[in-house]
Amino acid sequence: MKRQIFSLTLFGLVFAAFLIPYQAQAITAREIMEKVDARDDGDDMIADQEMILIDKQGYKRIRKMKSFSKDKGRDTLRLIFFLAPADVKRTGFLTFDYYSGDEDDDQWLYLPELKKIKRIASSDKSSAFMGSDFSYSDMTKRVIDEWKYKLLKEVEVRGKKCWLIEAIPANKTIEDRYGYTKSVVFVRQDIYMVVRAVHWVKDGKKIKYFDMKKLEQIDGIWLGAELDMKTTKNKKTLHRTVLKFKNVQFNKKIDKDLFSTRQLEKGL
Amino acid sequence: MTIKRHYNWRIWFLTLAAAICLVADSTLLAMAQDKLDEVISGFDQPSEESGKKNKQGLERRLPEWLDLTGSVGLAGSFDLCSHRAPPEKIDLKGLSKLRTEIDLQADLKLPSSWRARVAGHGFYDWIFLIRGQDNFTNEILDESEYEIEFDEVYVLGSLSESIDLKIGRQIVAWGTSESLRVVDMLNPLDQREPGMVDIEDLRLPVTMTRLDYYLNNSWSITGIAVQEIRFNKEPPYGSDFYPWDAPPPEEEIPNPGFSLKDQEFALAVTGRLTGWDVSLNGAWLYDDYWHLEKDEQGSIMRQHSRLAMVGGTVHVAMGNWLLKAETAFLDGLEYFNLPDEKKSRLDILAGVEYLGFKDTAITLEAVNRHLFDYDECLRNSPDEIRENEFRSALRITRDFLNDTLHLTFVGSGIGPLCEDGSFERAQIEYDWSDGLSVTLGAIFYQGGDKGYFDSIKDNDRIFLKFEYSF
Repeated sequence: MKRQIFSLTLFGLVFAAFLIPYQAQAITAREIMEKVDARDDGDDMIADQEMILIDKQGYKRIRKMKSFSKDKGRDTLRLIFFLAPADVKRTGFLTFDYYSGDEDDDQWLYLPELKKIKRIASSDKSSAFMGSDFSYSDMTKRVIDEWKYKLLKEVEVRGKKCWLIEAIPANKTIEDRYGYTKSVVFVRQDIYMVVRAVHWVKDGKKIKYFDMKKLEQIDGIWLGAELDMKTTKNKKTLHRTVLKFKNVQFNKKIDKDLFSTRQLEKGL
Repeated sequence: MTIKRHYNWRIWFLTLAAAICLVADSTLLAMAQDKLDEVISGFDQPSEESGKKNKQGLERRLPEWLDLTGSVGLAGSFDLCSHRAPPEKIDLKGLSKLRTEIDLQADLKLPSSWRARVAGHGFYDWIFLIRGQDNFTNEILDESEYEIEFDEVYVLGSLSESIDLKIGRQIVAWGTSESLRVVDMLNPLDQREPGMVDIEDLRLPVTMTRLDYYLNNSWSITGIAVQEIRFNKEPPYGSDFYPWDAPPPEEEIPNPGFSLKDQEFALAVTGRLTGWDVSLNGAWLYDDYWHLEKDEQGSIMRQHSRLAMVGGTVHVAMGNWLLKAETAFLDGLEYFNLPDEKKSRLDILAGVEYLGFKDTAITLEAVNRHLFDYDECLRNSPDEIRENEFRSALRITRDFLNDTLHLTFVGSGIGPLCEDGSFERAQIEYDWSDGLSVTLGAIFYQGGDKGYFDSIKDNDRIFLKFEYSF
């Protein structure tokens, strides 16, 4: 009998030890990501953006933009005008970003050289946004259900506690659409914001590092005011992009008529 | 007892298995952890943003109401083959263009949210000085040695919440197609160097009054009256793209001014909907392409038919595919070989654009133009028209090196198998900095059953352009 009790206790201890790292977590990775998704990021936003593209020699190119965005339910309307450099100036980009992954976004581009509004087919979001290290998918919210999450551990980023969460695309279609085979995101525990991320790029054995270098609270809403994305291969930086937000205004009740091809053609 | 022993054996087995799993899992976890830690340590690199040399353009200081942009450039072409030249004149084999170019555009913000634009361009081609002006025809010197011209010059504003007005010289690009034109008939084209002028410089602005009425954010109605009648710019006599041995006859160009009789009119209803765009288009306009006609004195003139056009376009986005369709019915076409008749034609275009490859766009378009009540005499020169004229175009663009290197391939042919003539152009553009770009490319022409393409089949050339935008 003693032997039996000893055996059962040993089995229980071993089994418990096996499970402890997972059972001790009070909150699941999925729940954390739902809170990230539900975080108040402002219904309407107007901002000046500066995108600095830095090549591996350290040469910089600068893109300047004015952006407007408005939430419409779970969907987002977005209008961006390019202000610099001269060769892309007055180019406009209008997006109706549908949260549901089943529906393709509506996207139109106004090309001042052609004097024409051009519809864009947009299913593939892995292409670079204006030559930067950010892809179109990096510029939009991820659909929660399209990823499988796993809580890895807790870490500190700039003195703040973060959850480290692994996100794997739910299927091959999602992997192709986003262009990532895996992401690891750092979620700040106090404000439920992704402040860092590592993305494993599907093609080319590249790894992309996203780092929110500067955080600001404007009208009670947390904003990543300086975002850094670098593309690496074999630990060497191939290219880097710094995206800065300036003159940010939240909840200014932007007229929905602004998000129209009429405005796109007229410009700022 | 046997059962108990068996039970004990199972517990020991499970314990051992769990222990093995734990050790294996811990080892794997530790390895994965090491690898993950190694990867996430990549954040701790020193910042490179404060790095080196800037490649941005010059900063400008202008008043808030004025925005001035433009470019200066140097463009050169090198013709690879000899071709026919007018008597006692030279052909353009070798260096055929060395052109300094300037483009300027001023955008002004006016009171009450109105705005205005004044744009123009100029060039001077040094090749005529270098190779001797006497070696070229007056026509080519007039047309190609230098040019100073206003481009878009207009004012734009809103008359009410739902009505916009735009008056002045402007471009209205109708249709879904990029390389072939069906309903896009309002602006003439620069065809002095066919295949060489890319779509951004192809359309020539004309003076119009344009009213847009927006029913909502999806639907709009556009009404246009064209006050300036301007036709395609064509290769001058003496140019290697001019196909005949003698200068062209005089061209009759209407000057409508404020008279409604000779103005052009156009109407469009456009819908931008979820997943697709649609438009219905109509116009009463002059054909931008001329036909030869005898006037009352018996002299041959270049005339432009007055056409009625009704048509429509559809654009459908499906995943990474963009499907395009356009159609137009034209009535009033005139030809030299049938002097007393007016013909009708139906143009149908189908196209597809694929954006599924990273940073790449592939566009394939094809159009068939069917002439009703066809007469075989139209096959003869100078008309050279078939009952069904088929034309196709393939365009591939791809960006490399974070949008600093742009590759473009354009190919277009007449006839189902390009048997009536074709051209292919490939170019590579490198953005040296935010302001400076260098373009290198080549264009090749193939002759065919059509006289025009056969006459330009030796015009293959390579080209190089430096451009600084500010």
